Amino acid sequence: MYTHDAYSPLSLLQYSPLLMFLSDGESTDDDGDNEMCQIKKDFGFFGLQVKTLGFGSDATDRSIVAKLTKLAELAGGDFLQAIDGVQLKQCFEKAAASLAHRY
Amino acid sequence: MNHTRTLSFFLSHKDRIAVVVLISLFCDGDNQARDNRWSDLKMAVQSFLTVRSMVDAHDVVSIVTFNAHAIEECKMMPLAKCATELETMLGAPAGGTRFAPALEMARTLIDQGTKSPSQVKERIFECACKHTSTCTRTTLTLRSPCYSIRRC
Repeated sequence: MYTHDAYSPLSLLQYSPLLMFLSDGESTDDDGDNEMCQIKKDFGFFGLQVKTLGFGSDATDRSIVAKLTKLAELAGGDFLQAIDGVQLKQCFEKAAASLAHRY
Repeated sequence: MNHTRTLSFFLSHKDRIAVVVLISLFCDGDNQARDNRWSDLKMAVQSFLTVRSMVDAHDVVSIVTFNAHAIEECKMMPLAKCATELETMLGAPAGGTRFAPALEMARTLIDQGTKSPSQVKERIFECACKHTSTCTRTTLTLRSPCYSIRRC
């Protein structure tokens, strides 16, 4: 089967998206909610996975945790927290390992 | 003869992930603290790439660093290449933090590896059936959650 335009049938769905959002601080504006909702709306069908990560001691602040948790929830994803580099490494490894078992 | 069948492309492409990593790290504090944070981050991302490469994944990776603005560090880069170039790739943007520009850029980058259902309504494909001489076209119609192909 050959396509008449630039996309082959399989390339339409070639990749499942994984979005990892890491911050060690809070947004100066209370923003990002609409953009995350749009991402979920556009790519949820393609198996979108979202993980938000708070990194560092500052990221234990309640408002930062709440914001990153909310962003994750808007996209049906998870919030992860890493106080130091060791925990951050574990978070990324866990995220990578989970991809192999999602089907 | 007309008939419809349902295909699941996801199952045959489970090893392909378009990874978009958005990173914001404050650059306050002394140089040592800042360097340590970026070093920790690079090690963490490198570990992610290593784990994925061990399962022979064919991922592509995009990385965006952001402060008040989003900066595209790499775009749809193959996994192995990203692992090689990661060390020199990441910069340390300073000043402010805004989530919206980074997420907007992420949406654009994800769109490079998939196509939004809102953008792809219907595409026409040549039919690969046995009746090529009499067959005109096959229509692939995108309807969440399944795809259907109408053949001749």
